[in-house]
Amino acid sequence: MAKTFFFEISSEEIPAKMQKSACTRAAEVISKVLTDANVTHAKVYATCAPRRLCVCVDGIEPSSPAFVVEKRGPKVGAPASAVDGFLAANNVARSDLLTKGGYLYASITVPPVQFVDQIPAVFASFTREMSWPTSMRWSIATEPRNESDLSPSPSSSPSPSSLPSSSSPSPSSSPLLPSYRHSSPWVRPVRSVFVLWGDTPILFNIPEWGISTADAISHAGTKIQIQSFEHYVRALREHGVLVDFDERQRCIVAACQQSLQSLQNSSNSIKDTAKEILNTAENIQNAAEGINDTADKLTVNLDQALLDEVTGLVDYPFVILGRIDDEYMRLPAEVLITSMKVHQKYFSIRRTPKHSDELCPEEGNSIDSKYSNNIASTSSSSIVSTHSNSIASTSSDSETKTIAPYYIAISNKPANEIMSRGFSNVLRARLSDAMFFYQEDLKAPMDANAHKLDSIIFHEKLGSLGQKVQRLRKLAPDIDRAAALCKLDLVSNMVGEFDELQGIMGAHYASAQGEPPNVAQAIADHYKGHGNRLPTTEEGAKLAVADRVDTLAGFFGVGIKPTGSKDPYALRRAALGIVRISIECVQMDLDSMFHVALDNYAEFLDINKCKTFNELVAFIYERLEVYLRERKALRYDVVQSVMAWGQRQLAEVSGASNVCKHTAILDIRDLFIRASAIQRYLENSQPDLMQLYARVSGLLQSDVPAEFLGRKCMDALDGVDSNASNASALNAPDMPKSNAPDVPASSAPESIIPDLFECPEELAAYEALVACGAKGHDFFSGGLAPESSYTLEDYTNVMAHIASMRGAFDRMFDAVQINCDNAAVRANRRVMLRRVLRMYGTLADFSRISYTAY
Amino acid sequence: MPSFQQMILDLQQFWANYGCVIIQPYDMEVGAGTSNPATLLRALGRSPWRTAYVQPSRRPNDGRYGENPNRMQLYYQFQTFIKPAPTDSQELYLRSLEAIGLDLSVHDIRFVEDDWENPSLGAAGLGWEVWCDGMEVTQYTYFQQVGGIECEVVPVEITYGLERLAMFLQGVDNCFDINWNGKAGDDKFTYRDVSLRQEVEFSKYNFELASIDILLQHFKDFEAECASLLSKGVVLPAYEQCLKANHYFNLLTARGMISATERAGYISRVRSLAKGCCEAWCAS
Repeated sequence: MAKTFFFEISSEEIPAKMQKSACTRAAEVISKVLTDANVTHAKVYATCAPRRLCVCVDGIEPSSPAFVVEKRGPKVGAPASAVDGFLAANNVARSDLLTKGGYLYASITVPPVQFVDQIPAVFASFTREMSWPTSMRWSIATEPRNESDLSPSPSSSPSPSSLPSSSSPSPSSSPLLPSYRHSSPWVRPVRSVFVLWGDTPILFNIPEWGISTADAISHAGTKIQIQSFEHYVRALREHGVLVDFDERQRCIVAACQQSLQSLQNSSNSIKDTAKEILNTAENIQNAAEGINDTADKLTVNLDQALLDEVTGLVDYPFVILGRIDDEYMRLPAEVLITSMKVHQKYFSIRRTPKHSDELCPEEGNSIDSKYSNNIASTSSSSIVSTHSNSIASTSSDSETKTIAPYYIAISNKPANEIMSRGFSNVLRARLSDAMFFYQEDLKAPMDANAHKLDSIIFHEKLGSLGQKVQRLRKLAPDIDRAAALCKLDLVSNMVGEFDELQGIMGAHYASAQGEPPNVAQAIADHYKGHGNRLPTTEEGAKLAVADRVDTLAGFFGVGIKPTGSKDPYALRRAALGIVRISIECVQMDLDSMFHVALDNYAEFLDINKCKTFNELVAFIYERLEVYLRERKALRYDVVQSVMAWGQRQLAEVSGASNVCKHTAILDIRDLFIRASAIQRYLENSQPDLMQLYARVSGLLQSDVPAEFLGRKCMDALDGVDSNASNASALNAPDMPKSNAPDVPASSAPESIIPDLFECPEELAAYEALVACGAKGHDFFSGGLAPESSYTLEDYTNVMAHIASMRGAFDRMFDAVQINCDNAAVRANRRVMLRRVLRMYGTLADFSRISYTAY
Repeated sequence: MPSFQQMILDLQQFWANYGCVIIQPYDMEVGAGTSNPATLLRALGRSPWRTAYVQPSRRPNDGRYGENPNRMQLYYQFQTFIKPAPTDSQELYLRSLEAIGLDLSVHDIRFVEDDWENPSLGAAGLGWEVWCDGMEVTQYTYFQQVGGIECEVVPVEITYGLERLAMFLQGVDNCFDINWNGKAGDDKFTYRDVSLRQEVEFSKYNFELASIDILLQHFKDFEAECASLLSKGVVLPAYEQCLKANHYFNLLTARGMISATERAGYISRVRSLAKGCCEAWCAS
């Protein structure tokens, strides 16, 4: 009967930040190890607590079934000695041999393998393959050896004095030398291992760690006999260890919320509700004094990374709610939050006035979705005005108001008064330090530190940070003040202590010295553009993009580009930031920014502007593609259709004249809107759009009578302008070739001759085409302009117009043969079909969309 | 409630009982007990070693003119160094806390990951900072590397922050209120009585008065002397010059004279001195 295999590796404290991922990894590793050992198993479970990693596997059969293999031996007629050797080696009798294809075979029964016998090897594989972000070695005492064992053999080392062992004091006086060897690596020293198979502890040596498995677990000096995994969990719980990581985390969240609840109810019934979770009622009373306005809503800042870390720091969580002294509430909210989180692993608490709809700056998820919704239906100007509204709520004054003067700390023991006082004291000391930094920083105006930037190297080939600032000022002359100040907080005390506060402190210091709010906000915004944070103002977005454009232009200019997994300067992230800000915040003139950036560098570097520019465009496009697929969950083929379309436009623009000067980065936001519109249309609408496309493009590509198959012949017959068909030849080599039938996007429309129509269905199709052309006239005539600002709705309408032609065209296809024998009639019909495809071609390259999906 | 000095005496007694060699503080400026050759150089090689000592530690940049309840430019570490690390070192450590009067049943003691690295000394290790009720009171490190050389036998270094522990044990919120000699009334001497003037004056010196030209010159001199001594085969005097250079680098930092770029350069200069000393120590 299948049984459960369980083991616990008990070590000194496993770093808290590593525990969550260790649970996942351990489950994967044990599963792989068992599979490699041909052990079938059911559910795998792994968990971590501070001093243990546990793995439990259900459904392992005690023994694998016996099976028979046929082993090939010598050839028939081989010398007797060879056959005898084969028989002996496989322990079979001559009568058991079979003959097949001129060879002798022995039929060998492989006996069942007992899982219990495999356990030491399985365990060893697990510990070898289980990797940690950092691991260490420790020393294990080996059996004292005789001195002579340590003596080098003369051949291998002629100079004994160079050996470390000879430096031991007076080896000759003591025949026994202490001897140590390194352990195999683990995250921290392993102190005991307990392995249970069914209900039986399995005992074996683990030489890599210099220990043997134990017959019981030990916790805090107590030995506990264990009969099953369930028993193990229960026993540890009784001893104050919640071994399940997720359960500990749920406990913490619940306890945090409960204690906040108590705080909010404090005016009435503190003592009744809070005793269980909180240390003493007195503490809450003290804490509660700060809340006069009970209408304020308090929420714990349950930062997930912090939550995971705290979960890894305790065996059993207890909550301590404390107050922050009033004098420190003058510190910027971000400083309070960061100091509590980074140094103390305390949770901060946010206060939101009731009925307030203001955005929490920390909670960027909602910002993201807000932008996405806007982008579909509004032009950039209205998005910016949305930003402007939110600026007021993120300025420093009101942010401070959103932090309540409390903290929540998680302890590993039920709190008492001494402990609570300790937690408050240590925070006080931290905040006192922060206050010192803050006040020191405020003593001198920011500009007084400008010279310090000159001595900080941005990159050895790209000059100092001071030079970068000068370049930024040229890149963004309309926000010169913000550009001049934006890097100065890097030399402040506070950012020296908490580098994650860069930008944020700059904004505070700018405000403090009387800079206008838009300058301060632009400084705060200019690092945003990744994670959950985006610039909140147009100026901030501009500075954020300028900073990244300067970085990318410089590194690409000197030939430093990401390769494979190596991207030490986070250039991909910088490019992604540009893409995100362009799409989610505000449209930028990236063309001229990159040109100015390259000009800036050209002043002191020898760079190939034209080549670099083209590389930068390709790099931005690459990121855009990834962004659309991964971040916006757009389908691969839809993204391809839009990217291919965009690159084609690009090739045509740059092909028009001098390649570099006129190269334009297409409107990347427009590409996003196109892709979104197409995907949404395909998901929500009847299949008309794709079916019409498939039929029309199919007819144009195939169904050509054999005699017209020659390409030249076809073009000549169809009267295609040969210049226009060369458009695709202008594609840069790295740009994907379109699969679409030749649809010259920029050629003058070929004319359709209604006189050549042979039946009313043809005329009806023509009329549908004309009607569609009229409905979408503005779009079809201007649809190629890079500066277009079409909305999702515009694109949807155009697709609906095009799709509406399907009925008429289907009836025509039923009534006539397009590729008929009459050359003039055939050409006329094909012109009509190409006109249809050209309409598709103003939207995207539909040949890349997988039609079968619809 | 133990006095500051009683705590030191108790820790010394505890580790003496364990078999540590109790040595006296190193008699020159170091940033931490780790820099004491009794730890740093002894971490190398295969010979076992056990020691415990108080080390006055100078951190010029941490001076706060005596105004911060928790930061000083000179404070006291109690250092225990055992090579190889015994398997029960954590239990021993916890017992040493009890030995100085900390009631483990009412305090929240936790081992919080803090991998340690001293770039100037080319030293690194894995371990924790030990928290007592949220306050870091001890640095606990398994050395893996010293002077760029892998430790053949892995030692454990336990560094107690004496002021912080004393604040706990005495229940004071400000370091300067620590009762140093354990007496009451007129007979009582506090940390303030012992250290305040020193903190104020040295903060002024470190941040405002130290002559930059002299500091720069001293750094160069110690650097040159260290290299010269190494070439003559004396390790310990060379190592002292390295420590001196490191201290003057710290003073230059406090004076705000080292930019981020230069900083890396200075650190690498000190590290190469330390590395040279460690290599010479292993070779001799």
